[in-house]
Amino acid sequence: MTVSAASVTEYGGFELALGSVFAVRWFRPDQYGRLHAVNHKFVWKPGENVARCQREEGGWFTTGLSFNILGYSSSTNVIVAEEEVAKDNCSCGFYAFAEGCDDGGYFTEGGVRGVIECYGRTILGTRGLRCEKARVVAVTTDRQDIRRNYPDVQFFSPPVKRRFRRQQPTHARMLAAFDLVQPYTPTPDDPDFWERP
Amino acid sequence: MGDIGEPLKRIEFDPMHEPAPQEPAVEPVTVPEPVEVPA
Repeated sequence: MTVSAASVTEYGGFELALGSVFAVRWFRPDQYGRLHAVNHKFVWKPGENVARCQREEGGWFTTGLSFNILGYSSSTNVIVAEEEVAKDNCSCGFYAFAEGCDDGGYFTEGGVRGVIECYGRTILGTRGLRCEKARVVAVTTDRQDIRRNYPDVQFFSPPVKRRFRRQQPTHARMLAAFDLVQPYTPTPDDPDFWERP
Repeated sequence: MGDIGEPLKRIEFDPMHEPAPQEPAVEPVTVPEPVEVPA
């Protein structure tokens, strides 16, 4: 999917659209074959995952690295309503990236790459998106426990070497299977091209 | 997790996923009352 150049400098709400978008992200598998977010306490489940904002109305909820992001709630956190996820003044939501934009410091040894289907309230950016709801649709891994845990996911085999650069060919096959969000570079044809920050 | 870059659009997507299969409707069965037979 290619995002057009509409400016959202002055936010006026979310447009409604039928369908969903697909984008790339990393996961951190655990010893049980569950897929975690890379930097936050969140376990991706099969099927639909719904992000929840963890920001308190009076300020930021802070517990280690898990503050304000991605749906993990351990006990009595103040949860803002689900429909408010993917807000301008917060960083809540599921993150995924356009093709070629997901490798900026998030790859870790043992991590697996995948594609998620994103929907609900979604903020599309030049390099990726964050959204309210998502489901894992493809993962590059040979681990049988992961394959067992996510029966509805398409799996792609990684090459023998798991170094990032060696994943590219296999990753390309996975990417080719989906109509992914593409990175967007503003051009002089955009109405606010010369005024953009 | 990372930088999604400059915001371009805000869209609320409805994926139109097929609804989960529901339990088939069961029609109520009327059981006839027993008829008393005179001895």
